Amino acid sequence: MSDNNKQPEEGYRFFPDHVLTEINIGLFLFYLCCILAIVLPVEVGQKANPLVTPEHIKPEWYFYPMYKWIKMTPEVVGLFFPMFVIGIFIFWPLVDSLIIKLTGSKVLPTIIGVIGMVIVTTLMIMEAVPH
Amino acid sequence: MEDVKKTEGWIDESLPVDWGKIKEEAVGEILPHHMKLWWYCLGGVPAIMFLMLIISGIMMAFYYVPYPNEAYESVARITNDIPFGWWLRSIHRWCAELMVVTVSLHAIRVFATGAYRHPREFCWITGAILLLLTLGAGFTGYSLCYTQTSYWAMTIGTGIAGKTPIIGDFLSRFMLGGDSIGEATLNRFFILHAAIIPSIIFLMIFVHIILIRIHGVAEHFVGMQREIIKGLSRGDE
Repeated sequence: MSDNNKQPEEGYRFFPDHVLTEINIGLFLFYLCCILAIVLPVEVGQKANPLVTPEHIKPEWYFYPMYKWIKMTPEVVGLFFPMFVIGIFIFWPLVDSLIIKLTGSKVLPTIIGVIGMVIVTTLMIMEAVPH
Repeated sequence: MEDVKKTEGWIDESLPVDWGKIKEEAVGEILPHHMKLWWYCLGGVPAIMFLMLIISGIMMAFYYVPYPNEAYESVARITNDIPFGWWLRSIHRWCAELMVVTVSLHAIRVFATGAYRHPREFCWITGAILLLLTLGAGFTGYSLCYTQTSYWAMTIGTGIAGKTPIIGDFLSRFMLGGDSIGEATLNRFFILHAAIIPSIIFLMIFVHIILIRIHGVAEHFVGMQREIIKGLSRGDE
């Protein structure tokens, strides 16, 4: 075995070892998508009619939390708060260090983040469950 | 053999680049053993999904017509008449759904392991923008089908955007190309979905990877994981 094939002690090589892992995952996902495409193919649906409003309008599942929030709250809160949350999400590392600086607790930002994730998941489930 | 040497010499003279160094910089990184854990591989997965989306999207773009009178019919043609069109469309749809799932899971992993903390703040910021862009691509793509549900989802989406403080009016008119959904809207959504958003995603992925290479892969700190990683490194010996 040549020296090139030896694994370094402190880790393992990006190429070919990690790349092969990623290719395997990619092939698995492609296989999964093929299975889903065969078992649950996308349908054409009903053509858009701007004159007829459907009884139930729903966005894609990943917009459920925001959609539910907007439906639940007054307009100003419904629009401002998600924008505020998106801002917090984008600049979370800075918010995290600010919380640590102010409170001295490294656990508190994690707790806040977990609570946020629980709220988002709850809103998603609430919108997904038919009434 | 001499011809090969001549060609190599010609390439070296025409492109005086140290290919060995470039290769070493691009793929020569040594990764810590904890990267073998599947939840640490979630970062690369959305990139693979993105590649699949680009390929299937380009193939469908040959047949899609972004005009209200023809959009629905062209989607129906892709699904029912074009050979393997239903498969391409389904792959595109499922890849998009899985991309949202995997980007979200990757963000949760980064959050749970504290990998966003100093000095990797910009890695998180670019990743968060990538998640929002993925959602934007999902919204614009869904609207292109011009079905009853997608039309009204587009109406609600642009309506919400229109109520954004200060820039709402501009945002709504920019998305709609007028006061209401019309020819210009689908055209704009198609350009956003097929050109602008994917280009920004590509750029952000590039910046994200560069930042990861600069700072290196984050150290894991959970004791339980450490034991698993010890087992993984023993497996190499």
